[in-house]
Order: sequence, then C-alpha cells, then structure tokens
Amino acid sequence: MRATLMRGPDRNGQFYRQTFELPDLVGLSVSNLLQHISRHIDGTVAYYLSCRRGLCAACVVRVDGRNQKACVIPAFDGIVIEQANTKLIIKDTVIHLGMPRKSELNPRNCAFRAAASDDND
Amino acid sequence: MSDIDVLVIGSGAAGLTAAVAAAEMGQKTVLLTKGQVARSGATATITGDICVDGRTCVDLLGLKADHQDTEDEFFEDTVMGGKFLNDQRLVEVMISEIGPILKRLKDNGLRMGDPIRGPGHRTARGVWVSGMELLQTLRKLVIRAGVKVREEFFATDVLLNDGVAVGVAGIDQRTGDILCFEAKAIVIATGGGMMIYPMQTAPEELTGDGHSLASRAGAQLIDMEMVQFLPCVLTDPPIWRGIQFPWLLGPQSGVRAWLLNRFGERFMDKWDPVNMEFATRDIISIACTKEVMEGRGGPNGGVFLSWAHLPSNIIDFSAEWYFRTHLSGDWQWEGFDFSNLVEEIKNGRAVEVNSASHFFMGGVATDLVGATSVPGLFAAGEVAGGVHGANRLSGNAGSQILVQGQQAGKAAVAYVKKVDRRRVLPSDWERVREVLETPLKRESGIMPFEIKEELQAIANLKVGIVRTADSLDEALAGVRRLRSDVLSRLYCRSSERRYNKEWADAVECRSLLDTLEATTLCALRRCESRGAHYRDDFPGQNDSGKLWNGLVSFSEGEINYTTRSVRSHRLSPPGSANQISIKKG
Repeated sequence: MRATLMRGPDRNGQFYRQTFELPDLVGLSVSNLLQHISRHIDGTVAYYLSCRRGLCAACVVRVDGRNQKACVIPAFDGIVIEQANTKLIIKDTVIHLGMPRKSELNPRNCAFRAAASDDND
Repeated sequence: MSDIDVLVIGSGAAGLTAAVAAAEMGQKTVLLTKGQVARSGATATITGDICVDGRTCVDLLGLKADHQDTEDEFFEDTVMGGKFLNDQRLVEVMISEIGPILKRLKDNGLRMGDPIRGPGHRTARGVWVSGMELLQTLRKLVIRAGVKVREEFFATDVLLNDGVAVGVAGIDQRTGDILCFEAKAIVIATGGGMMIYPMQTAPEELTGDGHSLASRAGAQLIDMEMVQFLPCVLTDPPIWRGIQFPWLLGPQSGVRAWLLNRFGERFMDKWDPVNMEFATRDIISIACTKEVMEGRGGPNGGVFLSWAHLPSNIIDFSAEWYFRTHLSGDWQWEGFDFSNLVEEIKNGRAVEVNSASHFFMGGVATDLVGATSVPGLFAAGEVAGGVHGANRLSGNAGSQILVQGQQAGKAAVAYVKKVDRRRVLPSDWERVREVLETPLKRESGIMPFEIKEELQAIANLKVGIVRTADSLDEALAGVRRLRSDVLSRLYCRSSERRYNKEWADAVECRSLLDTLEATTLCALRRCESRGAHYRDDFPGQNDSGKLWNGLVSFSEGEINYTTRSVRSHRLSPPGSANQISIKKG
C-alpha cells in the first residue's frame, strides 16, 4: 500500500509531499503507519504518539479533509496525511497543542547548550 | 543565566502538582516534559477513580459515600492489598492528604462523580474523575502560578556536584539542541516503565526515563519486580491492542462476566474461589497466564471473557451507571466505537483477552516527602516506589500522584531555602553531551527500534507475569548482552537533530535497559510469590520471617542489590507475631 505525507518545514522553510511504499498495514492505525515509516523507512519523519486511544488527541492529523486522531483511525491504501493546523506546525504532522507562549521557558536559561546548528552543515 | 530554584521533570498529575506547589511558594520553577502538557503521560488515561475514604468524600467533597468508612479502613485495605510490602508511612500520607487536594481541584472546576468501589476496597472510595479534565485543571494552575515550561524536552541526565543534584541535561526535541539547566532542587515525576513490555495500557512515552536517570545519579530503586498487569485487555485487531474495554465492561464495573479457557472451563476457582473474576488484578493476570502456559489459551495467546450467561439487557445496564460520564449510549468509549463488539458480546461471543503492563508499584526509593538518597533529588508519582507494596488497588494511583506531587514540591522548596546554589561542572556536561550525540555520529550499526523490540521480547517471555529463576537468569544475561554489545552500536540513519524520533528511540533504549535490568534483578532475588510478583518455582507467599523490600543501585557500571525491613509501624501480616490489628497513631 501507499501513503502520502505532507512534510516540513525543511531547512529552507518549505513544505512538500512525500509518498511512501509500505507493506500491507490493514488493521493498524494511522499512528502505527506513521511509526512504521519513521522506524523502517525514514527516521526523520516526526509524529506525535502518546495515549494510543483517542484521549490526549495530540496525534491529530488531517485525513479525508477532516481533523482526526491518528491513533484511532485505520490506515488505508492511498491515504493522504496532512497537518491538522498549519499555524501550529512543529515538524511534519506534529503540531503544538500544549502550553501558551507566555509559559514557555526561554532556552537561554540553560547553563550549557550544544546547538543543533553547530553540527548540521 | 541560571536562577532556577525547583526543576520538575514530567507533566502528568504528579509533575504538574509539584510545579504548582513550588511556584506558589514563591520559587522560580521550571517544568520539562517529554510530551506536551495535558497531552501526554499516564494521567491522561485515567478514566475513573481517585480514592478517598468515604467519610472525607461525604464531609469534604460533598459526594455520596459510606460515612462509616474512615482513613483507618482505607489504610488497612491498601496495606492488605499490597500484601504488607507497602511503606506504611507513605500510605498514611497518601490517605490523609488526598482529600484537601481534591477539594481544591473541585473548587477550580474539576468535575467529580460519586465514588465507585474497585476490587480490594471494602466500600466505594474511587471518586470519578476524567484524567484529561484533571490535566486541564492542573494546566490552568501551572499557568496561573507562573511556572515556565519546556515541552518535548527529553530529560536524560541528572548532573551532580560533590554528590548533590545540581542540574538536568537532555534533548530539546523541537530545536534539536542539547541543553543543560541548573537548579537547586530537582523533582522527578516521569511515570512508570511500562514500555519495557510489548503490550501496555500506558502511553508511549513511559519508558522508565526517571528510573534510569535517578539510578544513574546514585538513587536507589525499590521493589522493581512489582509490575502490575491489567487483565482482560484486547489484542486484536492491532488498532485495539492494549485497550481495556472488556475489563471495564466486566469485573471493573462489577458485571459478572466469566473468564474461560479454550475448553470453555471457568478457571478462576483454582485461584480465588470466593471472588472469582472479582479477584484483584494481580491474581487474575497470573491465572490467565498460567492457563495459556499450560496450553489452554486462545489463538492470540489470551483467554476468553464471556458474558454469554447474562441476559443481554444486563450488559446495557452497565452503560447507564458505570460509564455514565465516559460512554455514550451508542458504546463509543475513549476514541473507539465498540458498538459492533458489544453486539457480538450480547449475541454470546466470547472475547479473547490478554494482560498488558499497566503500572509500576516499584520505583525510586524516597522518604516520607519524596527525597531520594541523593541530596537535591526528589521523586513523586508513579516513578516513586513503595506506597503500593506488592499490588496497587484500583484508584490508589490517582491519590498517590497528586499527594506525592504536592509533598515533593513542598519538600523541594524547603530544601532550596537551606542550600547554596552550586554549578554543573563543565567536564560532566561534556561527558553527557558526548554520550547523547554518539548515535547521531555513527555511520552504521543497529537501529534503536530493533533493540526496543528485542528487549520487550525478553521482558515478555522471561520477566513477564509468571517468572522462574531460570527465566530471570536468562533475561539478565540477555539484558547485559544488549547493554555491552548493542548499546554501544546504536545509530540513527539521519544526523538531522530537529525532532529526530530515531534519536529519541536510541536514548530511550538506555532507559528501558536500566529499568528492565533492575526489574529482573529484583524479581530474581525475591524467591517467593507476593502480589504482582509470581514465581512458578516459589508459588507460595513466605511470611515466616521479617518482611523486606529489595533495593537496587547502580554504581561504577555495577548493579547492586540489598534489602531493608518493610516500614510497617501500624499493621502486621496475619500469622506474624502481631495479628491484624490497627494501632492508632
């Protein structure tokens, strides 16, 4: 079966579609599908998975034009998985649903920092 | 700039409560969490009860309960349920402090239903609360108290200076940076380690991170062999894996469903002929596993739960009262539609069920208020061990996490006020950073998820519900082989740091290995069966000597095991010098 993901932003801030060829994942959830891609094909595919039963709702994605919890909806051939909210994107299908901005800790409060940019080209 | 007073790791109810307590006492408080706040942690999965004694339910919370039920009866049930392995001082604190905390949450808008009676409780004490609503209420308090939060931050190491906890390092997953924060006191509230097993009721992030970082910092772990499994969860189809709907429709809601083996025999009479399917969860899990091991299981390695002897309208009643706030009339429960399954159940079809890892009774050893053996390091909630002994009663987790969160938050503040700030040593930071970066820098090796799966298979087959000395010896050898041969070869296919799930998986492998090794060693050394710990080679409970807890510590790469006497100042087991008697005071 095939699945298409809306991915990004990449290092240039761009979003793009990527289609993956997968084994038959019938009976599994969309979260299982995302985890399969991340573990078996491309480790940089980000996904959020916590409760696996539709409670925390943070795995929400857009499928068939509707926002749905990825952990409780079945995977199917030809599925297109997009971000549930384009303003809240962290990476790929992961979006921010947690704390308000005013509660965010400024990372400058840290004592030591090894920045990701130091090692990436 | 490092001016953090109290740093809390974890955003379940324990972590949020600790952070609120510290911030409200005027301390600069920071919370780091691997997930997103109110969108992660096992608290989210509470669809039920937080235990409070009946009298407090009535007098303080205004709920319908048995006014004759006091803290003494609640204490006695908890210790008897824990098979007398509980730290009785921790039990006393939990029982006496939970009422006022729930009252405050109620005053802040948390909805509560009249208590239900879970197995092992003599009366209804389980105040009905939704875990997600609890998290939302606590989130509001955290914002109001001015706590600063870093989400999707994977805290991996506690750093010491002269034996004192002075900082926390980890991966800021959203940016891919590795950061180290200094703080005067650190509270670990990261939850259990259920992910060492392949099937769990608990959320994905419960990988034993706190057990690992606390023990690597020198803290002791207590009674790690005591892992609770929840019986009667679904295994098939895979999308329902680990979902406890059959349990809730049966024993949990007080409905007389029957457990049957593949021959249709009801087998609980061999284990608890009085309570049968209403036995506590430890006994049911052991009974089901033994049926399967002895060749009487179903095609998916489970046994069967059947409602076929009940009139179909009896099943409908449970939707009317037990599930009233969580199940609509059309059998939607949590995120799933179970209407077809219920229809099949009413038509007489049995459901194959299995047991899933559910809760860690063992964990980081603490004193009364959550202090570990490492100065400046506190633990609260499920990551902390001892209060439940060998088996946790239904609804006592909710009480534990709220009370211990508050206790540890306050204790951290008291500690902060009497110590001077110390710095993290740059050489320690460099060492931690280097270890974290290694999987990204390797060009080839073994992929983290493969190790996770191998480790879970070992845990399931050899450190599962039914254990023997042989199986545990094999598991220990397997874990040590993974640690020595494989941990040093883990690699990520991409060196991209920002939100690299494979990188987090690699670091979680260390948490899982530490947790599984401690669990296995504790299980090997307890040569008896007690509560959730069942040894096929020692099937009886040994009450002949003084009761003891097992303690594990890691130092210089070695794992050490010692024991201590159970802290039992009030209640002694039957058959010992003191028969069951409550000594007040």
